[in-house]
Amino acid sequence: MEFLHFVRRALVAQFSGPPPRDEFVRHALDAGVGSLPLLTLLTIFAGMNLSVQAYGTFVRFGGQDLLGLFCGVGGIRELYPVMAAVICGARIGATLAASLANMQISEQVEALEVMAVDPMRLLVAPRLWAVTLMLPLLCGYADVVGLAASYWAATEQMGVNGGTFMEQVRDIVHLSDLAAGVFKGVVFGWLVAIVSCYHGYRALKRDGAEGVGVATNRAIVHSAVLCIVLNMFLSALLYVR
Amino acid sequence: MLNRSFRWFEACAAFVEFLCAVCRCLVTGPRYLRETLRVMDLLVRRCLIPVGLAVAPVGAVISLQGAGLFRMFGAESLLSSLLATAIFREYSPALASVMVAAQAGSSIAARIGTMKVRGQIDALAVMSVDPIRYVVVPGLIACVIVTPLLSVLTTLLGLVSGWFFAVPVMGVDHGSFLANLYAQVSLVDLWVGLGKCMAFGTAVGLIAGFLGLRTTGGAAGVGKAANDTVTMTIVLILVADYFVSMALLRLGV
Amino acid sequence: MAEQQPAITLERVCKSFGNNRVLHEVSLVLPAGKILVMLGPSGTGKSVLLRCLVGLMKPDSGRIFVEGQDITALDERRSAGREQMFALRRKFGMLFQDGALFDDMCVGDNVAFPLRQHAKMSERQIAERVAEDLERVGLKNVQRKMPAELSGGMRKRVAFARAIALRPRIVLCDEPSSGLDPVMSATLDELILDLHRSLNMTFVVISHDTAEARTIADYIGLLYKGELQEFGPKEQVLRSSRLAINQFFDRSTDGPIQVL
Repeated sequence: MEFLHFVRRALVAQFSGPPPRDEFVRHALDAGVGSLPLLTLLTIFAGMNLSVQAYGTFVRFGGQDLLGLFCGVGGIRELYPVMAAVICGARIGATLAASLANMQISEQVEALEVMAVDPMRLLVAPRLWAVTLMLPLLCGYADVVGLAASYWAATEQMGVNGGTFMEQVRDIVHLSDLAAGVFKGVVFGWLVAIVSCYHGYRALKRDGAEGVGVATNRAIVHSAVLCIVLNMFLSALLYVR
Repeated sequence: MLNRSFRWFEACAAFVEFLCAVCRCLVTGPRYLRETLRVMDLLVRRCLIPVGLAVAPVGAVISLQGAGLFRMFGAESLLSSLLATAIFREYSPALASVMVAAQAGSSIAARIGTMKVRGQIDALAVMSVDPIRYVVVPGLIACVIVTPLLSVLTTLLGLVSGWFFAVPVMGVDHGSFLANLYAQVSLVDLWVGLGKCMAFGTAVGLIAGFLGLRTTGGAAGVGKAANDTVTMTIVLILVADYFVSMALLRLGV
Repeated sequence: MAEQQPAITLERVCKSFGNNRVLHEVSLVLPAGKILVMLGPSGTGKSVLLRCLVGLMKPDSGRIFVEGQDITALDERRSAGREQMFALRRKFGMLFQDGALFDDMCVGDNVAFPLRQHAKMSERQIAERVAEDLERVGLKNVQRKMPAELSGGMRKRVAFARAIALRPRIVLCDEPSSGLDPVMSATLDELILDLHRSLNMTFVVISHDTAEARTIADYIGLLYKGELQEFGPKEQVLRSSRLAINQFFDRSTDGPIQVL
């Protein structure tokens, strides 16, 4: 209930004019560029994992030649968008929640209100825009890196034929899949941002440092779980015909 | 640059020292059993729902996407084998650990970090209670034990949700689904899964304790400790997972 | 005519959290341009009173007038009410207990923040005003520093500069002397008096420091258990024979104020 009220206020703030530019740029850079090293490292390993594990599984059925299909479908449709969302939920979300909670407990949010500045407009709206716009880009980036890693692991380590692999990927992955991945990114981005802002904003002054910890923890867990669950529904919606 | 590499080196040294202290506390008494049980109870209750919610959809997604793939080759009956292997060996341990890192890791780090910035850690030391023994070790032991337990549960949940999306939703035959479910899963897979969970649980407990104790900079530092714990453990889990899978594949297990 | 209008009027203001009665039927009239020091033991609703004044909290019943305008009638959930509330808040400056400086901005940006938000001034005018106000609180060439690099007393003075940057009509101070050494809190008191003289603002100061009340107050109020025990011009209150007031100024444990 309280959450819905917050969402309503956040939406009003988000869509009533452009967000403050400096804040937006700062958070977009932090969310986007700041996540790159971590996301790169993780998608490389996740992509290689996907290949290695799928190979281990498929070898039992004698289907190791289908690796390309699996890496295409599993990676681009499912794994990379969710991973980008969960990693960013952990990194960006936690940062958002911690910074807002810290502002709450040190009365900085109240100070804004007293100075007749709407904290929703100044603090929440730019964060929402920044993450919503950056996450789809991160998803696209993760697609490329992850696929490259899968390809490398499949050809170099498993000895799968590279040509066949890419052919299968091209066969199974359509432009619409990429678009769907980006769409997922937008949804996840907004979700991570709103959940994290909510938990950060809800911290109370009397909770002190503990409040910041609690807000961070909740932001990480709730945004990760929500993204994974929502991914199921989105996949059912987008791919089951 | 020099400064930075020096700090990195200092952190590594501190971690080794921390590791030694933890080992010392593990082999010698006194042990705070009651505290350990309390943390375990807390972890199970806090992690159950997030972990369940995170793994169940994965079974569902494998079924959804897998059914389409296998149908192209008329091999729908193999879907359940794929599901069972993937879940037993890979997704259940990895996801359970990632969610334990997210939930338990961040809350342990935040709790220890809060104690640190409030001076409670120093207070413990002044009362000659070893903070590592009292606040870090119980959390560590709890993580090591709770993660495999949760993984068993998530395996079941993943299979059930996989079944639900394969049989009623995608129209795979119920009989062949059950018949092929355990065709490719061996006891080794189960042990590998549980072993991974224990290793990842250890990593979560260690990193959370280490970063929690190193918290500085007031309330903002607490958030940073929680945040760093989660990202570091997730990186560690994924990287370790890759090498374990690779090694197992080479060994041909 | 506007000069005669009281700065703040409270009419039977009540506020409780659950069963905990924090403010009970508090009524007072504070004339414009005066300094009110609101005394009371910790946890007696002084901060709540301050937050009700700027509309950060809404009283359960009773009314609050700021320069004749009823702020309890504004409904913040409606956007029109929010607009009016924000317009009204521009009359206020507030000094928070720990300063509440924005951690991610330097000192200069912190002081300039309300000006950039509300005043139609050029960057040069803003920079001049920021330097002027920082000098007024006794700080020079600190604009580039970050709040984390400052001591507690300096942080409070920067927060003070921020609170007065827009030249508000009413300045609220939440425990200005808490956590400061005696010299620093005396400096802060002088600062309040100085600003009061030069800019003719109304001050509401929350404190438990009786020395502070003696030095700066025009009016003194004593809040205990949510009720306004005493309120009036300083001389009258200091001459009062009420037990609670005497106990507070004598720092005695013997009297109606009991530690629970």
